[in-house]
Amino acid sequence: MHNIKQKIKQNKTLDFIFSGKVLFLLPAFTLISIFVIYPLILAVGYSFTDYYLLKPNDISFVGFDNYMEIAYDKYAKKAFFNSAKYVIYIVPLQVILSLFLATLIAKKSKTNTLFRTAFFSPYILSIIVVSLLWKNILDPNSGIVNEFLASLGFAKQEFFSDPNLALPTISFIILWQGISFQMLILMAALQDIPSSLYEAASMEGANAWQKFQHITLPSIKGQVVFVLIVVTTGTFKIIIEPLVITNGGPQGSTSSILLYMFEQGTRYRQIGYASAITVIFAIILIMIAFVQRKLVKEEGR
Amino acid sequence: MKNIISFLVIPLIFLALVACSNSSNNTSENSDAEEDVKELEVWVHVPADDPEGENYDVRAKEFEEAHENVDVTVEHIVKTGGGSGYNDRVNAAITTGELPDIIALESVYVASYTDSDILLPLNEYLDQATLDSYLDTIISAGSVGDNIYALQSFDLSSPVYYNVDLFQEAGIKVPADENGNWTLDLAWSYEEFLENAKKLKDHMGQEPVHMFTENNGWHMYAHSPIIFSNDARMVGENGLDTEGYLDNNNTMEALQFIDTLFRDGIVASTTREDAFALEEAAISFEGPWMVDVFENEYPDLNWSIMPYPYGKGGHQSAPHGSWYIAATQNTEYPELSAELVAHLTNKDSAIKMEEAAGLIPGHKELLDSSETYSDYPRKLMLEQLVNTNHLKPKSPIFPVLEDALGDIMEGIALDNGSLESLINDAKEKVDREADRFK
Repeated sequence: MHNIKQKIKQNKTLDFIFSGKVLFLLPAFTLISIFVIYPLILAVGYSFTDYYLLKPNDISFVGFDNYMEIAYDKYAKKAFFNSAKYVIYIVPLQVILSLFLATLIAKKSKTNTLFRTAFFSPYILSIIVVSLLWKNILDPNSGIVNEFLASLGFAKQEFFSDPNLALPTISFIILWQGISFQMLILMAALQDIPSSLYEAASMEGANAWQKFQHITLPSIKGQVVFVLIVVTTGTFKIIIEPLVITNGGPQGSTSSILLYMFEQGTRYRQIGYASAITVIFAIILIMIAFVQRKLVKEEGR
Repeated sequence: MKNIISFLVIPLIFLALVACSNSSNNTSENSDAEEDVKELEVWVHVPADDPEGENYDVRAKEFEEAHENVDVTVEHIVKTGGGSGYNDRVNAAITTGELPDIIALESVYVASYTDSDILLPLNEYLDQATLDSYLDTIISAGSVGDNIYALQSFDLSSPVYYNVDLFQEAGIKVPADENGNWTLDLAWSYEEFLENAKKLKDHMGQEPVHMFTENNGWHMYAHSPIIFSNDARMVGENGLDTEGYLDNNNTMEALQFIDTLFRDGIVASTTREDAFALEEAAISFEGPWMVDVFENEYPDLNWSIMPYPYGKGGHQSAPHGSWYIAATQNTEYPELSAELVAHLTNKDSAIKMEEAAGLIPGHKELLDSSETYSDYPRKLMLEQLVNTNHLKPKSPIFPVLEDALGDIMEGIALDNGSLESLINDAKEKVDREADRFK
């Protein structure tokens, strides 16, 4: 029985290969190979070398030296720790707030259309534009937020110069821009829930919270998990906002893994070391993707 | 299925055949011409409509006209904020071995590039008279060891601005020579600077000195002269050793002075944009381009320029450095490339750049006739460029040194740990990188 199944499977694979359909996959496969798989293989290879960008013809194998160095590099540790902080600050809030906003504006009405447009507009702006916009708004000298605080008699806040404030402030900016897309996904999920379920619950005397807890949440659990995973991986990949707003400062307090890798590779030109950071980063992302697959599969069952 | 294969394969075969036939035709037709024409490629970081970019184009044309069968192509690869756009292109070309004959590079990176055998020693191809024409500052910045690798027709020196009215109101007597000018030899020592800054603070009721405190290249460019003027250094002669340099008494003393400026409320811990222009600061370490801003946008501002404060007599230092021009080892025509570097940075270029952008001429002969820098206070910028020490480290790990100094300065500004711990952290950062080069 097992052999028959295997043969059928093999035949299907061969049919697929020789049917010509495989040609349609070729463009995507070629692009992914060139821009993802090949660089990843190179990065793994370089991570075991002392490749210095200005000496491409003088590369030596150094074994696990780069990985060992990361273990002792306090700036790398700080960057990893900061990335974890970004995830902690952003992920739960982004998921909860996007769900909250989606619930508020899921019903079709003219006012909600206006709100949807307003909430979604930050997402269509370039990250660099948003970063510069908030940099100006929160400027300690001329930003409107500090002017407002001063007019109320409060002390001006050094949002980007205070090592304790800079990371939460950048997290807020990322949250502000990213929330709308997640909101849209959850809103679509909410609109798919049959209204009959809510009507039945109302007839049974359920209150709003009970409806949310027993109808809404179980119905959109899959999408919430999806949003959770997308936001987590996206947050780990933060680089532009800290690069544009604070360049990782003050005192490295806003640097992320990717920003540190970028600095090591382009500014210090240590490709070998930067590649080792990339490999560790890729492993973290693969682990998250693995958890995602697990969760989604369990959800499917 | 057959249709799909035909659809994809036939055009590919056709394209391959066309490409082959084209290349074979070109090869046979142009082979003679290619042998005769010497093609030189120049990469610069400025757009063609910028005065500097325009100047390179003009000089390249002149060079072509003066040399038979020489074709010079200037490619303008515009740099982004941190110079990354241009630098990325150069980095990629280094990796693939496709560097052009001539490149523009920041003078502080000359040591990194020479350490990697990328640049051509120009002194092997240019005569002494040509080289002697350039300011010693430019020769020094473009040299590593006994060789000269990069040149430029101009240089920059950042001034220290002061507000004449606020000085008078605070009762500060400005040091002056017999002509009433605050000259280089009348610079304030650390103690004098501090004493007068305190008077200004008492008068103004706020931090009287403005400095940019964020960690970027500005600390190395504009603030490091204050430190180096105390006979302090970050690294030894090899550009790698920190022991006995970054942690020696002179460096500690200089950083202690900076620390005092912040702790005593002389400098604000965070940058106050436009503080000097708005008369909220009486002294400011800002770029030379602010001269035009002050003159055009703040006509009532009574500003002047003072010399950099110094730590130990005889060690005065001032900002310098810019983007320089160098020939690469990739060139097939080293002699011609070296000659082109000299032509791109010649006296005509210096005159043009002074006229167009107010930059200090990089040729000795032009200093006396310079219109922009003939009178004080601007003349002080020229004097400090020509007559002070230029101790920015020549090191293959310059970017790390720049960041390490920025870390220390930012740490002092934010009071983020003791001076010793900031220096130890910086040392650790530099040493880790230096170990890769030892």
